Amino acid sequence: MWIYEKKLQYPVNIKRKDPAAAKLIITQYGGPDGELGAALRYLSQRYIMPVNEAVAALTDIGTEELGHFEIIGAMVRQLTKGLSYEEIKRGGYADFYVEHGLGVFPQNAGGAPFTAAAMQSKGDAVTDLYEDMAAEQKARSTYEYLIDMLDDPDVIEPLKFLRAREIVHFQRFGEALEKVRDYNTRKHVF
Amino acid sequence: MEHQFLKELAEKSFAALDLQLYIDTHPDDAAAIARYNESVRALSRLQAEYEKTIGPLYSFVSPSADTRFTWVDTAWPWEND
Repeated sequence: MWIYEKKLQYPVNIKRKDPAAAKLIITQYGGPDGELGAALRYLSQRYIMPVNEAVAALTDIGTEELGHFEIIGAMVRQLTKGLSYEEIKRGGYADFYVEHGLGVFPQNAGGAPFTAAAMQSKGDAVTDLYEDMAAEQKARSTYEYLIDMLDDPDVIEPLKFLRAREIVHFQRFGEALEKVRDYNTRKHVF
Repeated sequence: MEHQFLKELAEKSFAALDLQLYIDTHPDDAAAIARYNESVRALSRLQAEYEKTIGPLYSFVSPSADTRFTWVDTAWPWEND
């Protein structure tokens, strides 16, 4: 069960519309290394974890990723709200507009819709936690590339926050992996 | 005022969340647990204050005003005007 909190984990307050920026950032909404994929990956992998520390980390990090999904949605909305036809055309947003109007749709920066094909739930705790550590690094790289391409501080600040979270999650997954390894070793001793 | 309030709420809530992730993988770290408990208490005080002055924060947890369900009226998190 989840409880909705009517607030963002990190405030988003973008004053300047920028459809081109929205089109890049949307990859963290529905792209292969985005927040939706992260949440689904962790929340789906929880069930087979042999130690409670790993279940707890996947549950709580998966939940935080849903909050990040909402931060990205808020950014896309604020970057595109009230765009004129002229701004849509000039900002390179026309191809998105003809499919989704000013809606927010989970896709990557190239327009490919969200797919679970970019994630795994392998039924093997060690395999899954290695995937999760790699996933956090891939998301960190994406946030860095986004920061390279953008310049509005109102946009950059939330992206920097999200980038920093990837590093913390990587660390926590590394610790969860150690707990699983300890468990696997103990199991074979007696 | 709402912006400032939300910022403070985000800070306190982040502290609790980040400590929780830490103790998920360090469930025997008593010092971290103490910081977590302290952080959760500070957060719930601020949440109560926010709900009293601005509006409900949680679906099916926050009580409503008697004659109007204000959950539908207060700003959504992505609205910045």
